[in-house]
Amino acid sequence: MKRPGVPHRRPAAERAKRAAALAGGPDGAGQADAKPAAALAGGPDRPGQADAPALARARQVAAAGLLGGACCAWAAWPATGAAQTALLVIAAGCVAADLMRLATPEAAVGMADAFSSITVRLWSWGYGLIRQLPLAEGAALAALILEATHPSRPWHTGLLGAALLCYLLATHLAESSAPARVLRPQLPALAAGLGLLILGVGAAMLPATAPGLGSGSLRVLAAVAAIIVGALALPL
Amino acid sequence: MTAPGGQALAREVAARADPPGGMGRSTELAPRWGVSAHARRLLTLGLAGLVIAVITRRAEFAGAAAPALLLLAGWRRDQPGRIDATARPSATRIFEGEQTAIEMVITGHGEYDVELVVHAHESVESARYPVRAPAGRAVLPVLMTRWGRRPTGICEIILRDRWRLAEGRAVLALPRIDCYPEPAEQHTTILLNRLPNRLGEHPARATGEGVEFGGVREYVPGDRQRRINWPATTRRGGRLQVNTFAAERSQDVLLLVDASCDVGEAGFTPLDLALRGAVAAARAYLAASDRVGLITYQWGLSWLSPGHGERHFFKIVEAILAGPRTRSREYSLERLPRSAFPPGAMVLVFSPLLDQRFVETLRDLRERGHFVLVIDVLNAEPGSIRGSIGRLGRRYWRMEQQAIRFSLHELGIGVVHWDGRQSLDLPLAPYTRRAQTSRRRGRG
Repeated sequence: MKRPGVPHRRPAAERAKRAAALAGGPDGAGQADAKPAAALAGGPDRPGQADAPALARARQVAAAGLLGGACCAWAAWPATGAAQTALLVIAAGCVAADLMRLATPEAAVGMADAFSSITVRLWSWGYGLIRQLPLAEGAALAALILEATHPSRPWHTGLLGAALLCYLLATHLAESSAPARVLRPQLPALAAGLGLLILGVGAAMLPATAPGLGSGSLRVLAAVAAIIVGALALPL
Repeated sequence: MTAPGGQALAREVAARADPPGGMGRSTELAPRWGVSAHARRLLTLGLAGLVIAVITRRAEFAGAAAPALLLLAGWRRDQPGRIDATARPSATRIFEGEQTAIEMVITGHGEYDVELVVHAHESVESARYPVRAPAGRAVLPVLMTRWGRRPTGICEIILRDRWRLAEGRAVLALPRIDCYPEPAEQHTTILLNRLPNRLGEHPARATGEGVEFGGVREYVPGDRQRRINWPATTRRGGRLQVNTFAAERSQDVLLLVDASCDVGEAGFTPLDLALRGAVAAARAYLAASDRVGLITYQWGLSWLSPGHGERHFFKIVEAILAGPRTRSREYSLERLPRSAFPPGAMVLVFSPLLDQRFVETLRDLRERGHFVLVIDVLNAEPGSIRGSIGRLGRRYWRMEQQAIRFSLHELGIGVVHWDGRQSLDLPLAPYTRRAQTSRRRGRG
């Protein structure tokens, strides 16, 4: 009874194969961008491949979260006063909220409308608020202030600075779903910056010949001058 | 096009129909440039480190700020003011649940990296995460979850410089993709006992030129010699006997889709099921060389005259997607032209039977002698009111629905229920086993 000319829906396996072929793109353009396409193409037919981009992103988000948590803990240790505890709570809260923002892509959150339930509307409003607040900046700022509340410990501060930089870079990679290799052009600047960081920490560890206001200010000025010189000298 | 064997036809239909918006055309966009969130974070870290260093006179904070400030030194000002973006879908017409892809080509972005973020329509699934487009090319997967003719969504094009400090954003509307209702599974067809005198594939009672054996009769001059049945001739004492064959006829099938209400769970509303069932029936009857027409009952009537062939299948689906073209208030089928409603046609009705005027229309159809079979696609019931009042209301509503179906049954109109998940062959089984009678009152 079935005439071959009349269209019938393709079987699931054929459709999945076709979608996988489409995901590869014409003339093989952009294998990197084929990953999300392959994930969707996998769908219910090929669940194994559907997890690849989600796993990569989960790794990036986890790395950002771990680095943020480590920065907070490192800056707070040892937390003694109430002010330090409050700063720690603020920093940790910012890291946690930013982690939630990174873990939930914007496309996954539906827009609430007039007919949505209270829960959906609250979730949508809260998610919008989280997206608008500068949470990573807040976490970095709180961690630096927390570190400043402690007595001078140059190597500790230097490590915190490096960790905070890594946290910000990881946050950027996670929110843009970009691989770490996009940071390759910045490697010279990163190396120079870390060198300056080591210089600054070393300068701070040197015993002052004449303790006082002038000595500390001069050290800071020397560090700022070194940064400016480094920026001017970098082959950008 | 997704239909095997019909790709050339699909291209023809696509060329004649309204072209989906923006398909394959290059669009010039002006990105809005600004400081990226990454740059803002680095600036915050650098400035905060410097300020704390100055306030506390601790040089290690200036050192901690150094990497961030050096990274900010890579800011560039030569951002492209215009880019060209092209979105080209690999298929503009697909069935529900099928996947397709949109090829994005971005030019004029220079050395800037391109990322694409898809904000898909609610019934469209696409990549949830940003998609990188090396060399300005990327393929966006698209999965249509519900039938309809609607835009796919929008694509946000994000340009980033090498140092990820500047960010340009532009928005491109993705092309429209027509999504056909997914045909339900149907392999069997209902056959009427009286078929119009038109060549087809159904063996009729009348003798003709078909291939199905009909009987043996005595030879008369003019009969073809190859049809002489020699064993029968021998048994009848030498008088020549010839074989007769059943004529092969086709029938007219009218699909009457009640689109007047759309209630229940999205994706399984009566309208969804009615359209899926109608597409399945159209496919099954067209495959049997029958002529299939479509009448859509919504705020008015719209119709497509019966036709046959592969091309007509796409006409039916396009008519389903297009919906009623006019807002006429005409509900009666009597005023339809004869070409749209041929006498003796079998009428398959996909309806939730919630509109009383539609029930009256069915009664009228039956009284005109048509074989009418209603496929009840209602799978929801009112459930918003709780408590005893709600229970009473639901009970009253159920009794009313039962009364409607009973009255149709008494008129000789068969009513079968279809839940949309099982094959359509199952509810239709009592009617596909034998030929159905038209122009006579009685069940089926």
